[in-house]
Amino acid sequence: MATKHWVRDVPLSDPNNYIANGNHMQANAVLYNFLKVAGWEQVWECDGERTQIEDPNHVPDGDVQDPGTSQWTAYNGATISKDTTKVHSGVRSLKVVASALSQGVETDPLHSMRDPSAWVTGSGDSIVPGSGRDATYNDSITRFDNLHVGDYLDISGDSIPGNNGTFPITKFLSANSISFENPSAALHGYYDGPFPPPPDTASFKLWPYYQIVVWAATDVAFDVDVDFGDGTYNTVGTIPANGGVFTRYQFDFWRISSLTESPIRFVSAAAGTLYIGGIHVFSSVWDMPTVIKRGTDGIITNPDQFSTAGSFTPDASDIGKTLFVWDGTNNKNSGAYPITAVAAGVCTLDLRSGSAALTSQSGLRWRIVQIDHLNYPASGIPDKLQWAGFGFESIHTSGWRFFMRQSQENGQTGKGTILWSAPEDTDFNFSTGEFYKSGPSVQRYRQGPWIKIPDSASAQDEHLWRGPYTYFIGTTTSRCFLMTDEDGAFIAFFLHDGSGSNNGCHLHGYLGSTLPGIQSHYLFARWEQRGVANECYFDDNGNRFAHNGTTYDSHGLAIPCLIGQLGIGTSDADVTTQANAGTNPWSGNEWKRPLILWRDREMIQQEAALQVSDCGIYQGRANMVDLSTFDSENFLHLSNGFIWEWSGETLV
Amino acid sequence: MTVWVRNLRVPDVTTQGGSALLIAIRELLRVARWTEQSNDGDPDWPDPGSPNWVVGPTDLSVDPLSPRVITSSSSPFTSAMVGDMIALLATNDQNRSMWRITGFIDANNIEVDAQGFNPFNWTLESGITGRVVKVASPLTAATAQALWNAPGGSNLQARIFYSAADASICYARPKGQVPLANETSGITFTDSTDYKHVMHMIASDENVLIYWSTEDNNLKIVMWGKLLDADAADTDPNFILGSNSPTSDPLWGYTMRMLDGADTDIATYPTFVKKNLSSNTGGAFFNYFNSRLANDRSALLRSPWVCLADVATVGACVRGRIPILAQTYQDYERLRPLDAAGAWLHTYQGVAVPRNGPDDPLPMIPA
Repeated sequence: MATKHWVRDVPLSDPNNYIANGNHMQANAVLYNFLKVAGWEQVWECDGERTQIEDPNHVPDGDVQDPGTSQWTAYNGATISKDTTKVHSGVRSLKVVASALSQGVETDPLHSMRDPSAWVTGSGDSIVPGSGRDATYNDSITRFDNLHVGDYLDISGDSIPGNNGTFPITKFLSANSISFENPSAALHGYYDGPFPPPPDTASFKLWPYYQIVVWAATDVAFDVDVDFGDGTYNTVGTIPANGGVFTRYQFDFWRISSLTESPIRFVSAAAGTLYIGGIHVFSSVWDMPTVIKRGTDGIITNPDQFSTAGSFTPDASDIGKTLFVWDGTNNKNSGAYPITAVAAGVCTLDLRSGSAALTSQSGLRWRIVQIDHLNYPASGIPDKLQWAGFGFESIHTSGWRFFMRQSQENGQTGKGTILWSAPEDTDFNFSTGEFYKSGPSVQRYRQGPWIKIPDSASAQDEHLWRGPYTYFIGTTTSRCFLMTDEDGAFIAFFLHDGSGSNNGCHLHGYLGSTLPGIQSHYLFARWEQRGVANECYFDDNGNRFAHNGTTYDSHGLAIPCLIGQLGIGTSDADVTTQANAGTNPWSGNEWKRPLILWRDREMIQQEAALQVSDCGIYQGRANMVDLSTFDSENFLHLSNGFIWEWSGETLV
Repeated sequence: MTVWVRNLRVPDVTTQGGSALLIAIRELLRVARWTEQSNDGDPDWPDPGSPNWVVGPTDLSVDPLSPRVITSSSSPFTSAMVGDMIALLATNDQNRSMWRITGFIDANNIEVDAQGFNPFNWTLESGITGRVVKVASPLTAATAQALWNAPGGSNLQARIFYSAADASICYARPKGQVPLANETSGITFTDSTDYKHVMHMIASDENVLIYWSTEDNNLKIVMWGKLLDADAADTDPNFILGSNSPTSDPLWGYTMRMLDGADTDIATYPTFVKKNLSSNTGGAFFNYFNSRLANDRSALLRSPWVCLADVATVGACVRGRIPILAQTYQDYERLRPLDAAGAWLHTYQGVAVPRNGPDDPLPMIPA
């Protein structure tokens, strides 16, 4: 198999003991950002502002699959219809024929848009500059929530000119306090009485920030105009003439007023025809373009330094954030590393190892992300984050697709992240992320649509992962591990809960069996179970990641599979769980075996088969110490005998 | 370097079937290029002077122009030898085997059993030593034994012993000439009422697989060998594997024997695939209907890992894989060829053995 790349032991801490609910969302953010730097194509994102039982897309008929056009309005004399001959996704597109300049189409008012807020600062409120580009705003009134990260703060009327402007909110600190990016901010305590002295205030506005993703094919340019909520349309970008080839475009806007629900209008630059293959509006939880720094000019300097070639200058605001980086030349450079110090634009990284040293390399794809319980909470999660999801297409030649959506309630009940995938670039609904049954996916006869779950505690017909649960006194850190390869053949995910009792685990992709085509694609994750349990175990409990996976038969239909175990003797004895299981007595070496991939175990499709994986994932004795490395650190035991090929580096 | 013996019909006996079996196993080990370290001097071991010894010519030759015919220039053969067994200790592996003599042509030519003949005919060879033996007189119970050395510099030794209960007991000494304490437990074959044996052998290097049917039993197996894929630092990962009854002691659920990390006998288990931890053998792959097909609709064959019994420090580890044999779905019909290429044959209860091509004679069942 191809060269491996890892996320090696990202600590996900939670000083407020929110780990009682697991550092679940943080771990999903680690996966998201690592796939981004790995070059996977993001094909879908949604927020949770419409909750789990609704189409998450803020655009009515955003998937353009309704037969009619009742949720669209022709603009200025254009002709609109649904078309079934030129389609990007599903079975329809929206066809807009403009006979002249300035014609087009307009969406209905968007669904469930968050409204802006505004206030005038008062006594006790303050701006405090940071040692980096981020400043802090403190308010005496509780105004903020995790969901505001990525939104904008508009400040005017401040007597200190450098404090005025529009700035992205970069971090949620508390209901009274946020960080925002303004390197020119100056210390300012506000005052609004009693008088005298004279008032010293500023006008603050908090503007919700949204992304627009649209697939369009057109022979003339169309402007994209958005009503920011005040009834006035503003051009946020242009879809150029693209020869009638469906192409993805992304725009953004903020809502400055709540008078309208921000409909979107497409306006022609000349007579021509526009096909809209789908349009999705969401408030980004994962990509957060205003917050997450990114580039392709990363420089790693031996042994643990990171900088850029000029696209971005890290500063003290980045201390505590996590660098995600991908190095196709030096695979051991790839990973996610906490930034422990920044000096003169150079980050010092925590390699989480006593032996690791990075190899100097430049031209690397990178992202710097605030991965913590404040931006990605474990408890008290607002809907926007709680039901947020993303979808990727792998860089693998198959183009296999991986989707997830959070489904974690505020408490313990019904917690999980719903997972679904397809073994190739199967078409999916632009709004919901569900795969159409026109191609193979876990949703083609194996899995029902997650979005229809009326009660998220029931977890019917779905794969998910859940992970840490237990409330720990004195330790609040879980540890996140990922492995993939340079070809994007698979994703292996593991979240150790600190005690080893409730680890999260899932595994997807082409795992190296010799079955032809999509028959060698697997998804291993819990199935229809959300109970509190260690997912990384290998018995027949439905909460185990290994017991009720999904793969494909020769007809492209999803069928069950599992990871087979080795038995001995005539009782229920097992190899990996022998009470005295140990190393080889003659050498002290560990034994491991590749995963046994067993599909169609119930012979549903008459295609039962055993395959042995060669993707670098193994099982060994279950009583090895959790998170221990062996064989010159070329293998990592995660828990309960689950072993990954490893980078040759020790763990902390 | 594989030596094959197929359908060696041991002369029928009317008493002491265990003795007949042990005499046959001793001859088969010789064909497998094992050498005798010593024996107890029992007068009935088929060596010159024994009532079970017939003749031992050294000028035998074979010619592909005369399939199944063994030729001598010293007139060693008589018509009375029909029904006896002949071993050819040939250099060429296709010639090296053992058969029942089925035809007397003349004093210089005999014919061997077609059911045991190799599918590729003779390879021209002369100057071959042969051994013609029979089982007319039983060994001495409770004392007859022999110790054999595996070929190729291996330390592995096999001890075969004829018990007072008319049973054949096979032992291994994985580290060679060591005190008796370093011998494995024996595997007992209770053949006292089995008077008809059809023997088969596949031998390669120090690995020798012998399996047979009797008029009462579908399949019995004994195998001495060295594990595949053992740790490089593992000294002498040699074993004995066997089953007296495929019904009550299915091979893949039965114990084999090795020496542990302290050179003490330890039970060792072939592994099998099952659905999940803690399920019993009822859910085992080899006992699981739904696993009868694999991959391209051919039988799945796996070389089983073996695991030492759950003994702290010196055991409880996976040590290597069983050579020669393969594990497959246990409910395949008995003696079913598993592939068009003739590479594998299912014997019984999920035990698959190599087959020497599609024309290799299938095992016979003694009536």
